[in-house]
Amino acid sequence: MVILGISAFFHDAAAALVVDGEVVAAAQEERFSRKKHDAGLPVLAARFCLAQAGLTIEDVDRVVFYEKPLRKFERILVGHLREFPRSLPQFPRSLATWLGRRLWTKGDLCRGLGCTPEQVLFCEHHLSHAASAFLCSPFERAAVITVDGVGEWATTSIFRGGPGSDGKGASIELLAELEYPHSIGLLYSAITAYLGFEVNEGEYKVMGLAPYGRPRYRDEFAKLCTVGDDGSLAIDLKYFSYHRHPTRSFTPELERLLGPARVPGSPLHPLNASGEDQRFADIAASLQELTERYLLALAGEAHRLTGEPNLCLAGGVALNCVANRRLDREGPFAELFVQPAAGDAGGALGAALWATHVLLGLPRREPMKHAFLGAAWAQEDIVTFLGDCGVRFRVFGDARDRDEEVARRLAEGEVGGWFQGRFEWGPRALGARSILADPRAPGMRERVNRKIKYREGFRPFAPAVLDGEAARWFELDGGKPDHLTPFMCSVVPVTEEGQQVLPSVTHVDGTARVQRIEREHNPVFYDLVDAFRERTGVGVLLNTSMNLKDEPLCASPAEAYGVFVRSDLDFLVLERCLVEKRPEKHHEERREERHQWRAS
Amino acid sequence: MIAVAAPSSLMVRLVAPLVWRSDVKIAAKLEGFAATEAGSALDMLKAAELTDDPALRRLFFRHALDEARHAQLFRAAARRIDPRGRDAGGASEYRLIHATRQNLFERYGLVRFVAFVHLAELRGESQFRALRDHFRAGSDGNDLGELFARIAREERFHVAYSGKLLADWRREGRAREVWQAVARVRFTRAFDAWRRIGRVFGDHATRLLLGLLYLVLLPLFALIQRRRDPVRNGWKRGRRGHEMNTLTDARRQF
Ligand SMILES: [Fe+2]
Ligand SMILES: [Fe+2]
Ligand SMILES: [Fe+2]
Repeated sequence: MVILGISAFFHDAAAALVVDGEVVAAAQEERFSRKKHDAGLPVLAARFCLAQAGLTIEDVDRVVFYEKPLRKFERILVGHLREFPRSLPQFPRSLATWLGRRLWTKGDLCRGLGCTPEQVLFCEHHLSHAASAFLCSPFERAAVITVDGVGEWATTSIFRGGPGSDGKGASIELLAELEYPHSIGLLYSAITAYLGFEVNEGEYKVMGLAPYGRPRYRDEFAKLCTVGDDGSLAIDLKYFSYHRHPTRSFTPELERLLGPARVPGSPLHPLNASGEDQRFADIAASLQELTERYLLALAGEAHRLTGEPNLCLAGGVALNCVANRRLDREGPFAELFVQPAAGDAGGALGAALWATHVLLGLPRREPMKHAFLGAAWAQEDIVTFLGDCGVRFRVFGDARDRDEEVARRLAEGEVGGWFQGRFEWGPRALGARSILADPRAPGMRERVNRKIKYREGFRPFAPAVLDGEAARWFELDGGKPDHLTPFMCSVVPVTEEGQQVLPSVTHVDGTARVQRIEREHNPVFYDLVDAFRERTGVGVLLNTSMNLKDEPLCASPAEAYGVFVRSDLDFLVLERCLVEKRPEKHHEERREERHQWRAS
Repeated sequence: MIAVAAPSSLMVRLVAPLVWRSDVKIAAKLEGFAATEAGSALDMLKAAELTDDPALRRLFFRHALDEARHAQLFRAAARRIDPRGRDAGGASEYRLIHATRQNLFERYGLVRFVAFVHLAELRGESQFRALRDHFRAGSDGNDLGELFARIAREERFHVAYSGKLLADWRREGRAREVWQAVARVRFTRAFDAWRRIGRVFGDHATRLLLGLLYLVLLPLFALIQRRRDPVRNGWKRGRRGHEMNTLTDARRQF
């Protein structure tokens, strides 16, 4: 049974292919189109998924879209009616988008992917999210919470996942849902915009800013929304305009309550914060606190409704790894699972898995153990590419030599790109397309932020740690199964020794968004970090995604090379090839080359 | 520089004194160049990746490195000149690095891609030469004349090699194909400009129409809606809990 899942037309379009219950490939469209958060029909990603499996669209039994377009359209229309006449600014724009494109989703899918209308199915947005978490989780049964901006109508849902009714496949039963416009996700985005960051992009920055502040605005935030004892949420809409304005998501009322909004792009130095910067950090902290408190209330309700010991979490809000950690520690559930592509991209995978196991009753296979579901490039192809391009490079005889050389360079303070195997599914680099550095070097965070990633100096970097060393550097809950850190879905305190030794990956509040590497599931990256441990005694590396600011993660060797030449990276490793920065080619040599072409 | 819409050098000469009049404006323009050059670098790199021909791959790759370096030169100059200073929170530094790939090689195929590169580089080169003259004449103190001279020199290499490729293909009996590719690039450029205007106009017209529709048609429905269906607060439970997991429901878009 071959099922192709598709998410598109909102943000983060993606495709995922499930063959007989096994996830064969999954990728976001942005990795191929190089448009960050590309929301268009994921034709390239779908083509890749099929090629990876050696199949064509004719071999696909079902194409499953991750939401119900017409129900979403209904919500948009009702929203305009409710807000009449204040929705006038938004109405023409949103209706034009719908009439122009989204209403014809089925036809678009058929034209773009070459499938037939009979092949196409639709799965509800939050059900797709729920399936993406539960059906990838190691749990046979679990409570499932999905929280995002908004799907069709739902903004927050509680499901119960378990075996199928006749013992076959799986079931996912909706128990309760909150409806638009009451949405913690949209509130988070509105405050993100208020803090001068781009919506759907700046949420991470708000999370990174929060530890610089204190939640001094608790009372003000209590006016913005009410969290019920039953985990429900009621937003006071007088502070927000996301439901009626195309670009502005908050009202002047919010500025009266919290003070003037931050001008986008204006300087922000939270570390030596003066008045305004401190106020913004405090607002971020208050928002973070509210989010955590809300998720805990929600988990309480989900636990009460389901009685299940374990929890799966999905939707954009599940990308808040600080909140995830708190939920894991303080929530009523024994274990927590978050699938790495928790946002809308993950809907493609969820839709495909839902059709496979819930709709068609195929038995569940292995839980998701790694996120390397993207495209790979063979060593021979890389050698040919570099050779053709005239790049000077070295090839290592074996992986061990390569790892030792890279470990040495990193230990000496160099920063390098690391390109290995299939690229990651989800927003995090987990050792396939990474930029690596020594976490012990004090100035390293500054250097990587300013010279390589070109991003805000206050944003932290994540450590990748060997499984066996994790407890030495980070305060993990020993003894409790931990499903979050292999996918970098949680933020944990750094131990006292860790804070002294690893300044470049310790955030201002003494925490880190750690990736725990298990050799069984991520052997190539594990061996590299292990080589670094052998040399330095520290089994930790600074690991950040191989891209520049506002660009998607690299997919191909050429794109990796593009990052390499446009930044201050010292070296780049492509499979077993090593490319170094060297001084500009001699001027004379270049002139000669140019001359050759003009003469002919 | 392989921007879709680079202005002609006459245009550049005419508007240069207006556009390049203050340090802030100059820095902003240079930032724009940096972004375009960086985008070109990404497109050339992709072309290098996708082509099978080792000789072409090498040329495209070299071209990509040139453009990446141009981006860096423009970026460095912008940072030097920007009176807001290099440490204005680094905000402008982030903007400078931003680059978008247009996926031209995939969209156009080899011959049309090279035709596009050739024409775009021709324009880019003459634009930079015009700017070189503008800044040399004005002794700007920022050495921008030299910067543009250096970059224009390298753009000449891009013009030369792409022109030679086209000439080689013509000689190999593909004259018609090359002629068509060049014509299509010229046409597309004109058409794109027209379409951009058309789209802006069309967007406005559509919006105006929909805005009118809103004012005329919606009041009544809004009234009914408000009576029948107020905002739902709190949990909604038990909506078709199992029904949504059937094949019949899965076929529906609502
Ligand atoms: Fe979502
Ligand atoms: Fe050029
Ligand atoms: Fe250039």
